[in-house]
Amino acid sequence: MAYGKYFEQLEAGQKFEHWPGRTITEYDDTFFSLMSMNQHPLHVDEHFAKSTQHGQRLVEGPLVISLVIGMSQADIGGRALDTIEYRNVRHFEPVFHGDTIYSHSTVLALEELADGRCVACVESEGLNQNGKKVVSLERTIVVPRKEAR
Amino acid sequence: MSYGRWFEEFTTGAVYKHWPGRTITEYDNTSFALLSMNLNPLFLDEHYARTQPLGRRPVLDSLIFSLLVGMSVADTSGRTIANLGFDFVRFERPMFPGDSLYGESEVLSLRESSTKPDRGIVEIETRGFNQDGVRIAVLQRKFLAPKRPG
Repeated sequence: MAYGKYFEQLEAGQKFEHWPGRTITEYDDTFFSLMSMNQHPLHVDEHFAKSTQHGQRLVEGPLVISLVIGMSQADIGGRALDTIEYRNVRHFEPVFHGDTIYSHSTVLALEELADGRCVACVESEGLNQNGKKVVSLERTIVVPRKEAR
Repeated sequence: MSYGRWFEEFTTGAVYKHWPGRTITEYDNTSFALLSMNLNPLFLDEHYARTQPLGRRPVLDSLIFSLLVGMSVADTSGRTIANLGFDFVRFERPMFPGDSLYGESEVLSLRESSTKPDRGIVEIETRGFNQDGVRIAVLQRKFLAPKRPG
């Protein structure tokens, strides 16, 4: 019965292959775009999207990013108390309806801040079903210690 | 009938106040956590969350991020060809279900594409505030905006 890690369980350089992945459906993308108030027609209008570079709707960026973060929680941030920031969030390839996203993460650094909070810097990458990298980001999260000091 | 801006419609230093804002409900938060496979009980389990430092369930960082981006699109990247990424997204204060999020964006820089004359790169900073005007989050991003056709 473990979801996420305590600070003591993390080490710089640790790598995690997250499982399971998730197929992003047309419903997911339309729902997510609208619930987050993003009405860009590239995400919600198939007929408009047909006239654009990729000829179809693209999955909204924050959906892919949120999913990659979510998928990493079971292995890493499932006990995290806070997120301080994301850095260097990059999109590499478009994601289309029906694509499946998989992800992996590396612990880049661990640090105890002056105020006593313990933080982990984690790099996560999202891949599609063909193994192509579609997104990457770094996150700094606050992780609790198992034993108080 | 406009959503977003052409490259020529951006001015460095301009600040766009996004409207409307949005109250984040408990349903939004639980639904977003599950949809994005984020099962940290801090967001999902009120009884667990009461034992944690904040004493209740906060709004997911990724939901604040997604909503802040989404509500900025009508004034900024609503015509974008491609999003080039986010340099940083910083979370400064927690939000709780029932809080409202409002946003504003400032144009930091504009650059014509060196390879394609029909577009340019827009860099903006987007800031999110709660109903008391307290800043919750700030992010910087770049996107490609097309020039007005013709």
